[in-house]
Amino acid sequence: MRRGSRLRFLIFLLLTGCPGGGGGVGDRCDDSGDCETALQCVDSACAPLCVRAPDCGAGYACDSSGYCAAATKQDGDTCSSETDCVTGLSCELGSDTDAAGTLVSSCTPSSEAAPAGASCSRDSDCHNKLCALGHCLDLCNTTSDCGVGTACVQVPRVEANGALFEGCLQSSGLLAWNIPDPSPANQVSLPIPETTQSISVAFTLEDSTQEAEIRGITDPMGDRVDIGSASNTIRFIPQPGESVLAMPSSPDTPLFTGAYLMEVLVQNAPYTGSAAGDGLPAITAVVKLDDNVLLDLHFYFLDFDEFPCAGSAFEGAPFDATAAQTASFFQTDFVGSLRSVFATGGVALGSLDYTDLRDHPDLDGLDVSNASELLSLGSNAGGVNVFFVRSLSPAGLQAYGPNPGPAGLGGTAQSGVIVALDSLCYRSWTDVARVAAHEIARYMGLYDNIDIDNTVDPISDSDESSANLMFYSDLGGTELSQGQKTILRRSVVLQ
Amino acid sequence: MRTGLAALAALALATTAHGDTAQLSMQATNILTAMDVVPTPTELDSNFTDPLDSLAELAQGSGIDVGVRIRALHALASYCTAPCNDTDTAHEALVGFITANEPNQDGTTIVMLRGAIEALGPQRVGTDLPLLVPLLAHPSRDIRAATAHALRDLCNTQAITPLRTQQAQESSDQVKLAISEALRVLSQPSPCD
Repeated sequence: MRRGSRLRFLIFLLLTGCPGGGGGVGDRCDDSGDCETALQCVDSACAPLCVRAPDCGAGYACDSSGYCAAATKQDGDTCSSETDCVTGLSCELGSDTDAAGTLVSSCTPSSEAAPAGASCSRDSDCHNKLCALGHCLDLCNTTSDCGVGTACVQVPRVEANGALFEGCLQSSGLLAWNIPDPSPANQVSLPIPETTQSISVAFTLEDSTQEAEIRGITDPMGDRVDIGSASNTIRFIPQPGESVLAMPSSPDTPLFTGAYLMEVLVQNAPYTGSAAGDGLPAITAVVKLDDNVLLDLHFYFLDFDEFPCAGSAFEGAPFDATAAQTASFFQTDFVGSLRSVFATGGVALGSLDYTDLRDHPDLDGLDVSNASELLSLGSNAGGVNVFFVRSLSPAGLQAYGPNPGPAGLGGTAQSGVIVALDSLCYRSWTDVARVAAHEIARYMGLYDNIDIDNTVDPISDSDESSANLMFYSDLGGTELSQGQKTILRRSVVLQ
Repeated sequence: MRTGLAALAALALATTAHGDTAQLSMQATNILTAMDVVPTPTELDSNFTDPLDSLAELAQGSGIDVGVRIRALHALASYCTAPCNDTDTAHEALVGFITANEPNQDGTTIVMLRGAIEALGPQRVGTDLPLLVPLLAHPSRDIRAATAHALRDLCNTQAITPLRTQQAQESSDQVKLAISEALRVLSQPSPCD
């Protein structure tokens, strides 16, 4: 073809589009037939097939074949997904339900407020006036309606008595939000989205002498759970200042999608029900949305200079965060044993970090009545903060920590566990690892298989053997029942 | 991690073979090796025929697991009501332990000694002052700190002068803070009311 003829053909192509479906990305097109096989025509330009609606831009859905479908719903039309409404409109969740009990939604002008995924505390914070689980959520029909990293799941609408809607929620990791203040003895609604593996709820009172208790809990089916029964749904031991609830309690008690109703009561000492407290607990919920099983540990070291058994415990060398990262007694005997114990439970150790706390001499030899002062230095929200102190008082205590701990929350009065190293004068690093593993497992939600007062864990397959990791004596073993393993693997501390 | 279980079995055998020490049942051993909780007097009473004598024997027993001895020493504090009489068995056992072990510098003894000192203070026997004051100069900072706390709990204002003397020469921040706390309490008009 001569040069003049070739030029005339190119001009023809530009004027007439892409005959034969050969258009590349960005080429002008009238329909998808003008584009290459793996492309489609969107807004008169060839574009890659979509995976999710945001690939197509505002006002489009992404269908199951990967083609962008323009929204058609106008202001006032009913809708079920953000992708149903034309540009400038949002699919806004209403408060009425249809015959099937589904909340009815309609296209309404979108506001300038926060987009989907942003943190929020009320509906008006969000562009579509939908704030749930502390985040702005878009309505959806399928996951392809949602952005990357999110999935279309059922979420209870607390403001509509727990009626479910489908919203774009982050598909993995931890999701934390604050629940608005209840009044004392008030009922608190706890929404559980569809993909929840487990949930941890911390009740924190400014007055640390007061105690938040849960007097009852009703599941989304309307069944009231007896907190004290062996088949209880929750793990919760009230504590002054901060109490933590964990669900589910055992593999035999599934977690239901929907809104649980908790009866929360604040009490003054002696916490017998006769002295109601006036505090309002700050309530923070954290849900685990995936089945990841990595346990991050954050080690904190108090001052171990002039330690009584430094020769045998630390091989005579100074012991601190730097030394611990290379010392074989710590890496092999302690961390190695921890790794082995948790591997038995199907949990793998994730990242480990090391921090010195040498400027807190008042906490080097710790009286447990001051434990909250130390634990509040545990700034890491994920994983478990592990504090090594010289000794604990009362003498004989080798470890201390909440049961369960405020998973997913750092800097609280219970954000971690404490291990006393003076026991290295009569126990090995491997033994200390078993103590630490026991305490970390309590933080993750396991109870003692049998306690010193003969209380037993309600998990149905848990025995009372001293060979169990959760046996209360420091001379116990490291075995775990299947039920215990399941609770560990669901823990909100895992990432 | 079978070493713990092996130690548990060995402990039971050792105490059984040791004619002059208390016979420890497995349950009693477990209670005195609880890792994150302190046994209550009720739990001790239900597991020992004669808990006071048994605990006193365990505290002194040389063939007994150190972890058991530390908890036994601590538990003795529960077996007299403060202010205790200096002839109470629980008090005499603690004083006997401290007197016998105060010169020892090995780490294991220091850990037990700390437990005994910690248990002695709340018994509030005023005549313990001469026993405790020299321990403010013990080579171990853990013992010095425990002694300052014990003097605080003893509620004997005659401890103020030796505490101030030690404060002036103390090198450890941990101990300085313990002494400051003791002085703060003892300087109050009614320190133990």
